[in-house]
Amino acid sequence: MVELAISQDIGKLVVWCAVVLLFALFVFSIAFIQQEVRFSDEEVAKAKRDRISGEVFGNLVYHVFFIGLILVLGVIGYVAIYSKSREYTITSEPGELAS
Amino acid sequence: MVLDALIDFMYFVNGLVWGLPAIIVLLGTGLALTLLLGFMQVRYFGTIVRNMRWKGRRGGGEVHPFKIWAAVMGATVGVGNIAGVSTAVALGGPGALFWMFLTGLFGMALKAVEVTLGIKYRRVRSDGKVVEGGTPYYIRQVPFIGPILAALFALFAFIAAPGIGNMVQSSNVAFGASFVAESYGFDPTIAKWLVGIVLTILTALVVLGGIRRIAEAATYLVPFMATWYILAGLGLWLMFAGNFLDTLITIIRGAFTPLEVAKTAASMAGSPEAAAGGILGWTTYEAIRYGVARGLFSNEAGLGSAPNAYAYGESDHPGRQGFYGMFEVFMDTLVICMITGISVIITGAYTTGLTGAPLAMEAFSRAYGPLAPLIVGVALILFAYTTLLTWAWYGEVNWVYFWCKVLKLPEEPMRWIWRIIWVILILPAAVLAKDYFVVFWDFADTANGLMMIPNLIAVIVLAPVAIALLADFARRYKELSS
Repeated sequence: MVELAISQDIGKLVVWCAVVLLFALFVFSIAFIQQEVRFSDEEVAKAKRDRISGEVFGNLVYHVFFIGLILVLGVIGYVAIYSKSREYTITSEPGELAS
Repeated sequence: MVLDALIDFMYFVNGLVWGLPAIIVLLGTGLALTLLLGFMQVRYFGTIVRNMRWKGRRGGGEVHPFKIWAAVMGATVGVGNIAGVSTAVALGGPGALFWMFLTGLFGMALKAVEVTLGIKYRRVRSDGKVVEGGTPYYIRQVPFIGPILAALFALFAFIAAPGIGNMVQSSNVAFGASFVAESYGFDPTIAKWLVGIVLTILTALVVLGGIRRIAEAATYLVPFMATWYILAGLGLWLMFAGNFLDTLITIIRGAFTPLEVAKTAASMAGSPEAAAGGILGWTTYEAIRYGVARGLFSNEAGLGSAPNAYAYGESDHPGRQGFYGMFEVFMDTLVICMITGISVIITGAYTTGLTGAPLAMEAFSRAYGPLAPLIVGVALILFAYTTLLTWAWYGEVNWVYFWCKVLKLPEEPMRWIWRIIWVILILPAAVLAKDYFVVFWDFADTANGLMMIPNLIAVIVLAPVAIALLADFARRYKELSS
């Protein structure tokens, strides 16, 4: 068993938020670009375009709300620990010993 | 009227928790944790594999670590690995497989973190008996809202379990059996009843014995079913080895650019669809959407299901079980899902317009002819049955947490009530038409998706703990394992 120093640094939180937001931006950009998709069969292409616009942009508010909810609650919880102690120690024991 | 509104709302929530926003948050979190762990799943892949040979530590938990791993693997590898992957390729095109692969890679990090937390925040007696262990026990560590999130998680999990972990699975086992029976000229209805009765008895024998007996059963079933399906898949790849390079090129092309494929590709096996002609097209967005979704929902990384079982395994360091978790995702998504996905592409079956299990069947038929129903049917039955066994435990941990830890009801009777309910539900789901249960199943499916919200919040809040433990284990692996 060893003692480990835990750093509840803001950097980790920033990486998480940034990666989730960048990935969201990537997916929405792809969807936006592909609203103009073309195939040699126009019926197939139109069905694809309608599906993408309906699924992605038809519910954009709810998508943003859902992603935002998890990000905000995650940030609140993370900062709550950070504000109490930025550095603390734990042991490498696999669980707490119960009496 | 009110009921209709509730059902509409449930489907709306279902669309969110199994749709685009969930995909973004889950894959984004997996990618972020991969970066924070310094691509540990790649750098330490050799250690991840060698760790599977660890002999366990008496007093460090209730069940041998390999047996627990087999039980979790039994739950993770399900019908979705065959039917779900086939559907993802049919709807997202061959490029979906590339995104599924990436999802498995990043999912390894996410799974490692949640499993490590599951071990760290359990309570164990000195004789190894786990007094408290499972996902809600680490979720409640989140400041302020932790206890509420943990109770919500437990509620979602035990609502989800009877639907997606039991009734859908027993229905799938019965379907698989009736399919095999019909293919060889037997009465499918009799097969369903027989399977329902046998399944009820077999499940009762295992589930009533708790996690030890579930893990014991999984130790025999899971290696057999995985070997069965992997060998069958590799045999198929060998028969179509000439198409392998083209398949890889099609997957990469489809991952990044819209892909148009002539239906005449189906003519490889003289399929009637070839005569119909026409084209099939997939956008890059669809490749990402369906590939990522199937990968995530197959390996369950981020849903918080697996820690409910891992927490009961023998351990000497929380990071060790994190490594077991990484190997679980590797086997599920990067091996078994790929076997299905590449099989439906390499045989050209993906251009037939079929989806789900029939598409996988078409692919295997092109390689194995009349033996295909047996190969796919046995795999479907075993994949579904092992899921049914382990989800009984996932549900029980959360049922006990909700009723006994939160609402303070006595633990022993509540455990037995759960186990009896579990066994009773199997037969009706096996023999009756799916229409009777579909709303309940969708309700359970929604609850299953909702499990992700409290779990992901806890994972990110407690990530520094898991990252430090995983890094320490990787650094001291040799010392700990000697």
